[in-house]
Amino acid sequence: MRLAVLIALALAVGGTAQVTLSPSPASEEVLDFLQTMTVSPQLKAALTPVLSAGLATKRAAPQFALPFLRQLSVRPAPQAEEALTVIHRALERGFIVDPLMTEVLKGLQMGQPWERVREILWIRYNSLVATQQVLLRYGIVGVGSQAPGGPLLDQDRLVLELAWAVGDYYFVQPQETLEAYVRARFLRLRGPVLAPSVVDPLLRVLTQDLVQQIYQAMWTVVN
Amino acid sequence: MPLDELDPMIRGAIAREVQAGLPTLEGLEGRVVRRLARPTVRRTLVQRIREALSSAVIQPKWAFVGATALLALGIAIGRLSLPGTRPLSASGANLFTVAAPGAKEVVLLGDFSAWQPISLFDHDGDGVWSVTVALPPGRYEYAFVVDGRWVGQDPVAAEYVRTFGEYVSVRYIGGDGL
Repeated sequence: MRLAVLIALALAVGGTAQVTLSPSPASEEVLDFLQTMTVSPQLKAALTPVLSAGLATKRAAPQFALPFLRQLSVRPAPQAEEALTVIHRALERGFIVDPLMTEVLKGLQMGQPWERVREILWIRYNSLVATQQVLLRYGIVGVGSQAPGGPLLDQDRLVLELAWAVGDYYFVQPQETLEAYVRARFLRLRGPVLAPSVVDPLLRVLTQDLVQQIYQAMWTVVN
Repeated sequence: MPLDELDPMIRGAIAREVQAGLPTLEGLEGRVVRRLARPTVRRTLVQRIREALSSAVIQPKWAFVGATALLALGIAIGRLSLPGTRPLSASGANLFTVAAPGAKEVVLLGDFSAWQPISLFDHDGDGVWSVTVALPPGRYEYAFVVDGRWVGQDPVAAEYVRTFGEYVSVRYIGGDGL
């Protein structure tokens, strides 16, 4: 009986043991895979240095970029090219692109039609551009590097999280105001994701008018 | 009694004993052959295990070695169930559970895994499936898929978002990884 208890205990403890996520692929692996894709040589030539810089500055993480490229590689070339174009533009502006890539992966995992995936990808991209423009106008963020090769700054993460919150508000359509929704989001982000020194200045100037400007600008971004 | 009288008495007693036992010796050879030809009654595996467990005395050092080996096996099973490229560095144990009595397969999907499946297990058969994933601090979106059905609203989630018409749960993991 003691032996049986021992086996059960060991298997239970071992079986529920912590899953550690696998080591990240190398950046070279991502760039090599890009070269194997059946997209236009011009796009590859334009994207390669930008993606390389994004990987080096952690605007793109190999663990998301590689599955993203793999998923695109099994789709028709025009679809892959459009998604890569969005990533290219986002990196050129210095945005963190991991959430853009995982958003595509999420939609595909859900079995969504490509038209819906591409629509959401563009909305997310537009929300990044709109957020950056409005925060610059308000003086909440500086000009920054605005390129994939510059150092990643706290304000880059701030732009991403604000853009994502505004985008989520559009998709979720909650009862509360946009300002309340964004404020609640940033109170949760404060600490785990963003340092208080980054969040607090935003919370001090956050108004319905500010976020409403982002919300409206999302639909007027000229790509 | 003189010793020379003892010997005939013993011989006589043995002779009488042999004479008395003769009927029982009749057909002895045949009975032995038939018994040997009869198939042996085999004990079942359960009976053997039961006997072994009832009589086993486990030395502490072998118990430790066995438990360590089984633990390693369990961990290996847990790791092998995780496919492909999931590369974030570990900083905290985060338990994901979902009640799915009678389910055959339950997986966890999340942005941390590039929305690739991570298997959950129900070791004790109580219908609660779980897996612990090491994640660094951050905001994470996730959902469960139970026998192919999307389950996006985890009761313990901090919030829910809905991008593609389906809900996903959101969890915030603090500086201690929890």
